[in-house]
Parts: sequence; structure tokens; C-alpha cells
Amino acid sequence: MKCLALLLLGSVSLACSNCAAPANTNSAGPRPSATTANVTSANASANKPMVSSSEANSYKAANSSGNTSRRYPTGLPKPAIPPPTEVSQKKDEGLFSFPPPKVTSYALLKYEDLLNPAGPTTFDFVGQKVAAALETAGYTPEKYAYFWNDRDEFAIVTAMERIEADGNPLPEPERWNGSTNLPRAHRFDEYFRYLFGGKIVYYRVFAFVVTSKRYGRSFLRNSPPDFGMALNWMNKGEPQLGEGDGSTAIETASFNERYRCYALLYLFVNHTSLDSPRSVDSLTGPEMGLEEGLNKQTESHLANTHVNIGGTRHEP
Amino acid sequence: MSLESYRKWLIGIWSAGFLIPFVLILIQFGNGKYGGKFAEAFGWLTALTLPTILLMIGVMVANPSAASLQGELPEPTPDSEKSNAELAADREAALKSSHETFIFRLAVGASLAYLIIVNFVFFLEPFSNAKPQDLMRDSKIFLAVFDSIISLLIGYFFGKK
Repeated sequence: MKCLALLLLGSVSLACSNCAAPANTNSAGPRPSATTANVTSANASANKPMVSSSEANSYKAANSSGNTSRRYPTGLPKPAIPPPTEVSQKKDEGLFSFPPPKVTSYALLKYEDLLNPAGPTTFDFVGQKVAAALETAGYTPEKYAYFWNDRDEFAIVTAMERIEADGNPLPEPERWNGSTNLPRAHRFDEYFRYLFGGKIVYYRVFAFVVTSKRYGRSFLRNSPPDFGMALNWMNKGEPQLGEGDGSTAIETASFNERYRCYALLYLFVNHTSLDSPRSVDSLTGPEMGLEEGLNKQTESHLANTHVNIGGTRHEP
Repeated sequence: MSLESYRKWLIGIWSAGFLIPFVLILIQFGNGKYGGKFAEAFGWLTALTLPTILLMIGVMVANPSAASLQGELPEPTPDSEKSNAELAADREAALKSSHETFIFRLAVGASLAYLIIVNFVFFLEPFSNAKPQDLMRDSKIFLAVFDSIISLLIGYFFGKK
């Protein structure tokens, strides 16, 4: 009888537990134990997020699918959303920055040569004047892009191009070959030069900066640009200054005596001994031998490429 | 050809296959071709050739063949003066010799192919877009497999007493 009574009791308790199980699954996940609940409340009171990385990931996944309530435990504080400044920084990544990265060299263009003889000179006029000079030198509209900052300075940046050591661009289409591949030998002299001394390629980017905030030496302060970033400037820039409908302040801003226009030169080199192309301004130690024979004068680069915007002058 | 000659031939081929790119690497280093990565190129060449060469030289020094110890072998006796047993032994030796010649040719052919590929990595690199370091890395796995097959063939001559 005792045995029978025990069996009966056991089956009844089993049935009760089976009834309780679905009720638990319908609630918001397994209930936290008492100790967990205590820790959670303690952390919440201290304003510390008590979320493990896996929970945070599941939260992100649920958030992206628009179903946060089911995937994320309701009792836990939600992980902090990055502040808007971080988001905007990510958006700005890879843009031609102001202040510009460290240049190889620069030249100050003559103010008088940029003025509009027929009326007031606007930023748009200066931009178009530079663009026209670039197009004459073989830079099609796809080979330059606009960047601007705070509506009082802008830059026209050219695409990465391959050049000779003297500053002359390579013949097309090799000129616009932005790949990191090294050249291959086609002649005997090239073969022996590459065999014994290695292959070398020079790259160039021009940036024409109209600004009132900066002066020549300030362009030598920052760190030199990364090759990949400079290569990507074309994808990040705009095809025209402003919105293109004349409504933006940057287009109509007056180009007066406060402003200067600088031609900035960025040179990069790739060689057998380097892992990837680098700015010539970031070479160190024996790598500096790669600069030997390289023309680094902005004025002669402009002249060799037939970019004729006007004269240059020494900065006072 | 005697076993000694086979060994000398193989050592000669491998030494030439190593020394030519070795001298080239030294010239390239002098011209700054590899910059700070000289050890990478030198390490690649030595890892693929030097162990085999040193093994061959080591075995030859430690275990010289009978011919090199005794000088020239004695003049063989004419067939008319030999007994049946001697003639049978000669036939067996001739068979063995032709087998050895075949293995030797195979070893020489494989060694030449292997060393030509090793040398091509240096001498044909100017015709490619890639850097020599990339070519070395890409060819290393393939050459390592090839090297083990060659070691087997070479081991036949250098493992023998």
C-alpha cells in the first residue's frame, strides 16, 4: 500500500511539473535565479551595463530584424548605442581631410590668375577654372573630385596616377592603373634593371586647396596619407562643388584676398622591397633610397603634366 | 658508370642549381632589391636546396664507395675465361647496372626540373607583375612536395654502400 501511495504521489507531482513547463516558455525566457536577479539590480543601480558580449550580439541581431522584445532579456539594461559623433566619424572615414594630410611638397598659386575678369570671383568660378585646367591636361571629370569643409574651404583632388620619376605621367591606359601590381619587363634593359635592382612604380595625387585657414607649412604637419585611402578619394569625393543648383553657400562664397589656392603634391612609391605602396614621406632608413632621382617639386610636376592654372609664387 | 660517378653528377647538378641563384641574391642584395627582406629570399633558397646538398656531401664523406677507396677497379677478365657461375653473376650485375642507370637518369631529370623551377622564380620574376617574395611563397608548397620525391630518388644512390 505504501508503495502504491508513493507511486501515486510521484505521478501527481510529475503531472504538475508538466503543466508548469508551458507556462514558463510563454513568459520572457527562463526566470533569472535569485542570485542573478540580485546582481542585476545591483549593477543597474550602479548604472553599469550587465550584458555579456553574446547577449549584446543577440540584441544587435534582434534589433536589426526589428524584434528586440523576444530576443533580448527584458530585465537587463540595453547596451549603449554609439553616440552620433562616432557614426559621423565613420561616415567621414576616407574623405580628403581638412587639415589635409602631410604633403610631399606644395606650391601657392597666384591669386591674380584665379580671379574672374568679368565679375565677382566665387568658389565655383575658381573650382571650374582648376577643373578646366585639369581637363586640358587629360584629367577627365571622372579623374577629379571635390571635397569641402565648413563652407569656407574646398579641395579638388585628382585620381591616383602612375608617373615617371621626373613627374611625367605614364602613357594611357597605364597612367590610371591604380593597382598595387608592379610592372613587368618588356625590354632587355628593363629585364636586367628589374632582375638586379627590383621594380619600382611612382604614383601621384594632386590636391588644389582653396582656403583661408591654412598656410604652406601647415601642410607639412600631419601624417602622410595611406595609399589605400588616397586611392579611394575618388570614390568619396563629389563630382561638383556644392549641390549643383547654385543654392549652396560653398558655391557662391566669394573668393577674395583672404583666400589662397595651394597646389598640393602627394607622391607614393611601390617597390619590390615594400609590402605595399607607401607615401614617399613615410619612408624610413634604407627605404629612403627609393626617393633617389624622384622629382618632388610641385611646380615642375604641374608643368610636366601641362596643368596650367597660372603662375606660382613664394609664400610670404 | 660507377656509384661514385652517379653521386658526383648529382652533387654537381645540385651545387650549380644552388650557387647560381645564390650569387644572384648577393648581387640583388647589394643593389637593395629586397631591402630588409634579404633573409626571406635567402631563407627560401637555402631551405629548398641546401639540406639535400649537405646530405649528399655528408653521406659521400662519411660513406665513400669502394671505387673511391681502392682507386681504379681491376681490368675485367674476358668472357671466354669465365666459369658459368661468373657469367651468371655478370649478367645479374649488368641487369642491376641498367636498373641503376634508369634510377640515375630519373634522379638527374627530376633534380634538373626542380632546380630549373627554383632558378626560374628568380630569373623569370622580372617578366611577371608579382613580387619575388610572392612567387617564392606560392611555389614553396609545390616545390616541397617535389623535393620529397627527389630525396627518395637521391637517397637510392647515397644510401647505398
